[in-house]
Order: sequence, then C-alpha cells, then structure tokens
Amino acid sequence: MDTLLDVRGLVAGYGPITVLHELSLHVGRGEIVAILGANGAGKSTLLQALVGMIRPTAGAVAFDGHDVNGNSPEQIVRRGMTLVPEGRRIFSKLSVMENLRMGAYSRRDRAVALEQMDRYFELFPVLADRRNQAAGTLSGGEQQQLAICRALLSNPSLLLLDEPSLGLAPVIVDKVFELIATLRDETGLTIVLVEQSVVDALEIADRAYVLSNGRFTAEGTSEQIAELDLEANYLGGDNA
Amino acid sequence: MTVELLVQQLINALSLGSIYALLALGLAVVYSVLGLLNFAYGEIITIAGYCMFFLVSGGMDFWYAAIFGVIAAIATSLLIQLVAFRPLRGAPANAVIFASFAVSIIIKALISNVISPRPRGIPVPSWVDGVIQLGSFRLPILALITIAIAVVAMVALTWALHYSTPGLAIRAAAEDFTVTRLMGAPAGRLILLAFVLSGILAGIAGVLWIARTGSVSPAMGFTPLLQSFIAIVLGGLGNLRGAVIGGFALAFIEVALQVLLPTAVVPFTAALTLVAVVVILYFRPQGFSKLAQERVA
Amino acid sequence: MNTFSRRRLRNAFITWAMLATVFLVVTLLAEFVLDRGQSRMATEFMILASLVVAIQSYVGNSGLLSFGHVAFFAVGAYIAGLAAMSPEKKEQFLPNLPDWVISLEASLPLAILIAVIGVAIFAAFTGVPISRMHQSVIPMATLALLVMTHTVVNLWDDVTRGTRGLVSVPDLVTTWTVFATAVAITGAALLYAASPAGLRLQVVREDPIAAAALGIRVAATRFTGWMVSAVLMAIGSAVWALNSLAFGPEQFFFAQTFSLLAMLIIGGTGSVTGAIAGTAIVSVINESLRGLERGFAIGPIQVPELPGLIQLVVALALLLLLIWRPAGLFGNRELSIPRRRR
Ligand SMILES: Nc1ncnc2c1ncn2[C@@H]1O[C@H](COP(=O)(O)OP(=O)(O)OP(=O)(O)O)[C@@H](O)[C@H]1O
Ligand SMILES: [Mg+2]
Repeated sequence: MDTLLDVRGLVAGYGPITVLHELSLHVGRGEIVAILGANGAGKSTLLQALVGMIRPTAGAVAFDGHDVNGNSPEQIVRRGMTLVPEGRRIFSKLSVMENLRMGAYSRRDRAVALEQMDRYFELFPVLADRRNQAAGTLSGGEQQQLAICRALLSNPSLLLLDEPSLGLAPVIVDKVFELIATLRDETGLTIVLVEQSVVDALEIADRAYVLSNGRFTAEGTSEQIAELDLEANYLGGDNA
Repeated sequence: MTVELLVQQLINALSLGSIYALLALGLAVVYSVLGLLNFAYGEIITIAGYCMFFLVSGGMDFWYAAIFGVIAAIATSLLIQLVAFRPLRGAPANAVIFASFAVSIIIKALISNVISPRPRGIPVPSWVDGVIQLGSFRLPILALITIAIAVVAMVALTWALHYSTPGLAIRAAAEDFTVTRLMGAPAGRLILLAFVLSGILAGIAGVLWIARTGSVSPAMGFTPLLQSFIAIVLGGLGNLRGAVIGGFALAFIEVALQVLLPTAVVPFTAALTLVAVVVILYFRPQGFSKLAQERVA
Repeated sequence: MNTFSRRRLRNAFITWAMLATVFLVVTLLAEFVLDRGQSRMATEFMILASLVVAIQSYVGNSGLLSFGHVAFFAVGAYIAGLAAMSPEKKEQFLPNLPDWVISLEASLPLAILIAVIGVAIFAAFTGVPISRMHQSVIPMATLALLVMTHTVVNLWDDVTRGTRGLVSVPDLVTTWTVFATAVAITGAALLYAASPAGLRLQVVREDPIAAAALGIRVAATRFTGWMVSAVLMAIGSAVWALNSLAFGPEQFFFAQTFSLLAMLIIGGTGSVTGAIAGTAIVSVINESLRGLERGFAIGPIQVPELPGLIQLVVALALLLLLIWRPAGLFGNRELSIPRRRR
C-alpha cells in the first residue's frame, strides 16, 4: 500500500522531559490506524509532535513524500495533515459558521470550501441548524462534530483525531465513530485515531499501535490487537 | 444643575469616553492575542504626537499631520513588537513586560535628550475649539468630531473583525492561539496584525487626545496607558467589547467626579478615579464583563 | 506544604550565611579601608540591596512583576522621616501637621516600627483588590498604584512639602545599622521563600489553576507575599530615609522603579542572590557613567550634559540581557556550597 505517513525514531517531550522514545510508525493511504494507550502514555504528545505543536528532538517524519519534521503547525496544515485536538477546543465565543471559516483558513480556494461546507452540512445536519449560534452553546457531541467538521474544511488528506469520544455519552460515541467510518468510506480520507475506548476504536480501525510509557509495545491488525486483551494487559490500572 | 449643563457634561463624557474606548481597544487587541500588556503602549501616542508637532510646526495643516501621526503610531507599534516582544517569544511574562517597560523608558529618555524635556504646544485649528449653538444647547465642535471619528473607527473595526478572514483569526487567537495556528494561521503574522491594529487605534485616539490637550511632552503617553488599562480591567479582561464599555465607564466616572468634587480636591481626581475603580473591582472582580458577555449572546 | 522542610531551611540558612559574609566584608571595607566617598557608596549599595531583596520576595515567589513597591518605598521613607524629624524642624517646615505628629521625635527603632505599621496598613488596603486580580494585569495595577501614590505625595503639601520634599531628616544610621538591616532583610526573604507560605506562593506562580485545584487559596497566598514584601520594604525604606536626610517625590517614581527593577531583573528575579548581584552590577554601571552624564569632551568636541544617559544605557543593556538570558544572570539559583554526591 501507498504510505502516506512514515515516522522513524521520533523522540519528543516537553523541555527537559522526554515523553516519546524513538517511535516508528507508518500509515497507508485510506487506512484507519488506531493508537491505544493508558492515560499519560504519550498519545497526545505524539499527535502534537506530528502537527508541529511541539518540536521533535530527533527522528524523521515524512508526510506525503515530504520531510515535515520541524515544520510549523501552519505549514503542516497546508500540506494536508490536520489535528482535531484533545478536548475539542472549538472557539466557543465564535459562531458555528465562524469556526468553520477558521477551519478553511489555510485554503486558497475558499469558494470551493464554501461549497464543501454545504456538503458537510448534510453529514452534520445539527451544525447547519445552529450555524449562527455561539459554538460554546452547543452540546458536547455537537461540539465534537463541529471540531471534526472544522478540521475537514482544511481539506486534509490525513486527519488526526485525539480522543473524539472523550466526555460523550455511549450513544453519541457510537454516532461519532460511525461518522468517522463514513468519512473514510465516502471520501477515502486517511485517519489516525487516538482512543481509550479500545473496543470501539478497534471496530473501525484497520490496524492499531499500542503505546505505553512512550514506546510502542504492540502493533498489528485490529483483529490481532483485539486478541491481546488490552484492557487487562496494558491499559488496566497501573501502567507498569 | 440645569439641563443645558447636564447635556454639556454628557457630551464631554461621551467624547472623553470615545477616546478612552479607542485607547483601550488598542491595548486590548494585543493583550487578547498575546496575553501580555504592552507597557510601551503610551509611547505610541507620544511618537505620533511628536511627529504631528514637527509637521504642524513646519506649516502642515493639523488634520493632514494627523494622518502622518497615525502612520507614525503604526510604525512605533511595530517597532515595539520587533524590539521587545519578538525576541522574547516564549520567555517568562515578566521578562517581556519589563522589556516593554524598558522600551518605554528608552523612548522617553531619547525624546528628553534629543528634543526637550519640556512640553511643546501644537496649535490646533481655531474652528475646532468653537461651539455649535443649538437652541439653548452649546455643543463643542471638537467633542462632536471626536465622537464621530471614534464611532466610525469602532464600526470599521467591528466589521473587519467579523467579516475579514485575518480579523476572524484575531478573534479566534484571542480565544485559543494554539488552535488558531493549527488551522493554518501563521503565528508571526497574527501578532504583527494585532500590533498594526493596536497602532492604528492608538494613533487615532492619540490624534484626538492631542487635539484636546494641544501639547506634547516626553511623558505624555503615560496617562493614556493608564486609562486604557483601567478601562480594560473595568470592562473585564481580554474582551474587546468590554474595553469599549470600560472606556466609557471610566470617562463617566471621571467627569462625574470632576463635576461633583469640591474644587480643593480636583487635582486629586486621577487618584480618586483610581480609588473609585478599585472599589468597583472590589465588589465586581470581573469588572463589567458580565454586562459585556450578555451583549454578545 | 504545611510544615517547614528541613532541607529547604538548611539551604536557606547556608545561603544566608554566605550572603551575610558578603555584607560583612563590604561593611568592614567601608569602615576600615575605603575613603569617605567610597564608604558612602558601599553603604548605599547595602541599602539598595535590601530594597531589591524586599521586592524580590514578592516578585520572585509570586512570579508577578510589581511596579508598586516604590510606592511602599515612598510611604515608608516619608513616615520614617517625619517620625524622626525634630519637633523644631517640623514646626519650621511643616507647621500644618497635626500636633501629635509634630511632637513626635522617634529613635531609629521606633521610626522603623512606625514606618512598618504605616506601610503594612497601606499594603493591606491595596493588596486585597490587587491579589484578587488576574495575574496578567497585576503588574499594570501595581504601576497604577505607583502613580496614585506619587500624585498624592506630590500634592499633599501639608504633610510632604510637595515637590520641595523633606529636609533636615536626622542621620540616625551607621554603616553597622545598614549592615544589620541588609542581613535581617536577606534572612527574612530567604526564610519566607523556604517557608510553607512561600512554597505555596511558588506553586501558585507555576500554575494558579492547578494550585487552586490543590486547595491553595490563590488570592490569600498572593496577599501574604505582598504583605511580607511590603514589611521588608518598609524597613529598608526607613533606613534609607534616615541615611538620605533629604528627599522629594521624584525619587519615588519611574526612574527609581526602573532602577530597582533593573537590578532585580539583571540578577534574576528567581533568587535573593541574583537580586544582590544585580544591585552590585547596576550600582557599578551607575557610578562609572555618572561622570559621563555631566558632559565630557572627546578631543575638541564638547559633549553636552546628557541627563538620562545612565537610564538609557541600563535600559539597552537590560534589553540585550533579557534576549540573551530571559531569567536573568542567576535564574533560580542561590549561592550555596557545591552539592556533595551521594
Ligand atoms: N505541557 C506539558 N508539559 C510537561 N509535561 C507534559 C505536558 N503535557 C503532557 N505532559 C506529560 O507527558 C506525558 C504524556 O502526556 P500525553 O498528554 O501525551 O498523554 P496521553 O497519552 O495523551 O494521555 P491521556 O489519555 O490522559 O490524554 C504525561 O506524563 C504528561 O504528564
Ligand atoms: Mg491525551
């Protein structure tokens, strides 16, 4: 398969603290890859390093054939890698529409973006209804949809999702995961999904990596990873 | 007090409030993006003032000179960002604050040494000091001009922040700078834009301020800095609407104190205004921000 | 976080002993080696160092830059000056003072005590609203405090003699008193930084929201730091006043604020050692430029008087230093004996 993202020996952290120790992973075009791990394993740190929010101290990140290691977030979005950050982080004082306009900020073809917006409104009908409302007044699930839609408007070829299920009721979680699967099937989008709800994630992912204490301890197809009984062996309680 | 006098004081407060609102907006726009107050903000007005002083002394018309004053203000604002803020990105807040304070000291010292430590007058066209007689009401022309210019500037700013993409990015950055970058807005350019806006607002306010005071001096920037600070604290931090509300609130407090206080304590008005503001903040630590938020919703 | 940590106390004590030794050397030099001018400079250095350390005890532990400490400086200096001035002089220069003030003629300890009480009351009133503010506006609020105080000092003729300032303040201070003051203030600042209250303030400095989540009362903690620092400032100011003998409102405004903060920031706000080192560095710069400021000649060219030259040079040096080392020369490090490996 055609590799879209290829990471080798990535080392990153915060100041003197190293969180990620020589991580290597690859993501093929059109794949959904799940990254699983306990709290504090370094999942968010990995995504932040990929999009340039923190600068890796070593390693190579190739995206779509370009070396993007050390690029700024604004350069990386333009290359087509977009992060939906942990905790959604929508602009709560801006209206829904303004959030979406920010999503399209990096694009030259804003007219095309507006057309796309209409298409996404079919996928996210709530957002269409609430387009002039302050985004902070949306419910948690609606905000997650907005965060995803906002990221999609940058027209990414790779979407990074950091715990999209965080703080959502189980029914809503199912909906969000359905949506993610739909996105891949309909648009061929490549997705890296960071999750703690292992079962849900493995259901839609093609492959998965298991991260613990900043190192990958397992990788394989979803079926292989599902057999590891992660909840008991890796993610339960103490991360020894 | 007669109705006429009341109306006159009201117009006075409105025109002073217009200036304070613009000043506060200029300080708040940078604060909203960087989370830092620019302690050299007052010197933007000082430099605009001296630029006008030289042009008007050279024979230029006051209002033409005002345009150059605004341009000088923008340039100064950019210079401050270049010298004090840019090299210290990511440094502790105290370092940046003190750097901007140092820039303010340097500018003041340079003006005192190179030009003069003493105030200099700028002749304001005499028609500006006139009044329009409307029945029994006397409306000072300068106050009307001030209010009109401020309204136009604020409407233009509101429009730019809502309908232009960079303006939208400024508002987004005020909420979450990191995510704004994630959306592809370049951090450096956003900050630059914030300083340009700050310069324009300070420049316009500065021109109106100078038309009111008719003089320039090396330390003239201090009062505007302090008043804009009080206004943004009164209005609830980091929100531009609050800055406007705070600016007008401050002007009304000040004018009310001037009218009501016995003449013996009038020199202390500035200090007493501060006391009044502290009392308000004591009971409402968030200033009038509730008010500001209600308006947004 | 509710009891003293023995390790912190021990480190504070070691630093204190070493800094006290430095002050002792300066004092001995001033008493027995230096000429009168130089020994006056040495005394001034120790007083300034006391003031800068007093400021450091707030700025360093809270991480909040304060421009308002010079307001405490003014209040403390005027109160001490008025308390110690002889009744005859007060009658002569400030006849409108209330009688009980005129009749007062305080000794050094009493003058210091009155200054401490006065400044503490002043600091308590101003500290309550300031401590409740958002940390990003506290520096500006303290600047406002400075201006308000300056306005009042400048205009309150009956008490301060306005712009003419106080004169005929008695000289109650010897080099040894200054030494004792510097050592005491340094010790108090180090003790506070090592105390549970100081530690809590440092936790608030690192992350106010997390600190609040840990159950630390942010505003109350900041207020305590403000008060401790104000009291130290009052002691330093009183000694300064009774050593300066005459002073006016201009000595308690921007230039002074800038100079004291420059000393603090050059050395690094994070440590008492840095505060003292910074004071020494800026004092040396000041002395070496003082001659130039009065005007000088390069060959046939006569450079005129350059008021504000010192300020300009210090400000420029500071900008460069901040770019190079944003945390100052010492950062958070204190003077101490090299650590033994275990
Ligand atoms: N800004 C920061 N500064 C210092 N350390 C940090 C910072 N952010 C995260 N860390 C540390 O890095 C480690 C990894 O954090 P990270 O947020 O990547 O974990 P995570 O796997 O995303 O966990 P969670 O499932 O809770 O989101 C943790 O030990 C955390 O304490
Ligand atoms: Mg995470």
